[in-house]
Amino acid sequence: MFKRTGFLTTAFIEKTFGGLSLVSFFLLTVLSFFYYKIPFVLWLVFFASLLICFFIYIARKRLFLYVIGRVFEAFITLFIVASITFVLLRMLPGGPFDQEKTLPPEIQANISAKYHLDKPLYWQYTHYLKGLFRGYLGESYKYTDRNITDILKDSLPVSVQLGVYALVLAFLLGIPLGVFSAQKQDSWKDRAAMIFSISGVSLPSFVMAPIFILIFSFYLGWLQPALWEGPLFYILPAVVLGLRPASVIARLTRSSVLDVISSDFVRTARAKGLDEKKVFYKHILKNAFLPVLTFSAPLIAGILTGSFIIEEIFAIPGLGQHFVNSVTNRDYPLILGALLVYSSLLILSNMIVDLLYAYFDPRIKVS
Amino acid sequence: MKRKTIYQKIFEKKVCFYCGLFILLTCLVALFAPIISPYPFYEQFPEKALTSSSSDHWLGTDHLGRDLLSRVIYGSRMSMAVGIFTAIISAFLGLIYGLISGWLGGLTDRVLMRFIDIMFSIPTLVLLILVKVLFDSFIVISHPELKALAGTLVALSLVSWASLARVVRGQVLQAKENLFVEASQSLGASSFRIIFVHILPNIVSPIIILLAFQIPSNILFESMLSFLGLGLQAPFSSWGVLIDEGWRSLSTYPRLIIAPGMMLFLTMLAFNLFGDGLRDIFDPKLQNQIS
Repeated sequence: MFKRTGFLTTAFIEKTFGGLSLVSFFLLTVLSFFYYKIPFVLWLVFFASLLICFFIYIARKRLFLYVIGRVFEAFITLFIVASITFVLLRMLPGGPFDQEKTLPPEIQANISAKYHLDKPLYWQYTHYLKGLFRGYLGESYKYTDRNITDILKDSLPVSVQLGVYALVLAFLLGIPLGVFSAQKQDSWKDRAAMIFSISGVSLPSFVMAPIFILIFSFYLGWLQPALWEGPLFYILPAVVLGLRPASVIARLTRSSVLDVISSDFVRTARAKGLDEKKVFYKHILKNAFLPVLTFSAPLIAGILTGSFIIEEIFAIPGLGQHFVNSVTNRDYPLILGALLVYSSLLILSNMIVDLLYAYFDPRIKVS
Repeated sequence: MKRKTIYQKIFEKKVCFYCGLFILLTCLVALFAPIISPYPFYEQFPEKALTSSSSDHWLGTDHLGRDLLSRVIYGSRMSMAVGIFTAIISAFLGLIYGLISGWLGGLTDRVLMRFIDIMFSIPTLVLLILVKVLFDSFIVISHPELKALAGTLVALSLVSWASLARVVRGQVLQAKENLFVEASQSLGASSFRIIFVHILPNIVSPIIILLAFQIPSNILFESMLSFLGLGLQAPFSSWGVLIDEGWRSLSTYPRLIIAPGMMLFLTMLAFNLFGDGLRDIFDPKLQNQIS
């Protein structure tokens, strides 16, 4: 029945490298969590295997043109996002150097000249776009003499680190919980899991965080309430950031598993005597994962670029704080830079999710 | 067999019913706050500042000696008003946008949907703050509470209509395929008539369900804005403001955050459970589309 066309099939290579990248991803997460220095080799293995896996997948599915089209589209979207926010920002009242004490007009003029704020708006706009083409994001108004690129380089890794912990928690908690409660449908266990997850959806992070800080760091004294310097510091923000997506994922997984369980192909698989484990992993779980996948694109971008509330509450030096502070400071280049990072991440994760649809459900044609 | 009305169905779902009741009660409390609350929200009793609960002040007082219970009661006004009115406004906007996009189709549809995609690629909180700051500079209302309400309403509505528009468009595309639409078209009915007589009644239930889920997210964003100091300001009361005050004195007086946090949590829980119940009643198949 089965014809094996050799040991080194593309699918086999793809799976090997996919597995390798997953393993190195978990190693990276664990090592960084316990504050070990991460060997450079590990980064190399992770990125190399991810890229190889990605390219083999693209080649196997013949999606090169599609990917190129999407990348082209992404640049247009980024351009529009930059333009819209540029205009919106300049419509805001007040400028970046308005202070309570008014500066002498000469100094004001000098500052404006230094940052080209005295030029007409369209000139500033084209100037900014020209910079963007060279990969130059401008200089911050608030953090004097600092490149936006430098600020992003300092703050993005922290946010990504926090975001990865939260995401790992969200998926590792949410999916099993949803599967578990779908299997025990309408029992008290199902009810308990769903009460937990709807509470997770309804509890805002700025209520959850203070309560967790109260319990775990003030009363019990186990964890640190603020800053970002080791495992004891990581746990609380990661949990607070991850619980809400975990609950949403649990609810989604439960409903979609219930949906898939009653479908025809699962009945057929069982009828032909397939072993229950295989039915579950290959037929049910793989198909039930699709709605979760749809949900995870905006989730990943949102969480990786940092949550303003969480970073504010736990005093974490991540990217999220810049999103709000730079609007209040009218630090135009910084907010634009942060927004561009967010948008690129969102577009990237949207594209990867669209590509992955075809992996989880071969019936879906990506085009 | 007589068909059950929607109210009877809601009554049969106990969880949904009690959540609806809770929501109704909270609305009534918000509406009649001046009558119900024992003290005005701004009245200070400096000699009794930071006392814990007593017969005079059931939930105790804050750092200026203001009665916490009264402040929580008054705080519900902002949350409920923003939650419900924003949902209505954004439903209106999303409905029109989605109808136009789905009904006309073709190039219009593609352009309109691309615009929504672009809107989604800016973080909601940032967009919200941008629009809020922008509108605060335009609105000329001297009353600070009304001003915060109007600004939050406008900003939130402008930010939250997009997801509704998407769902409406999808539903319109589905409803358009129905045979009765084609029949109506061949009988020479105008688009206007078809939309109002044939399409709208068919897409009402998903919209209602989505609205029920939109309200808690609006409430969340409103209190988030207040928590960040961009919404209502301190002498006035909103759950976000109270949570912010509680957060500032977390290490010394942790009880200040409990009551407003609890109310916010319970209200959002009630709305979410109510939405779940409505979804089960109206259309169980929608589970994967809306969550």
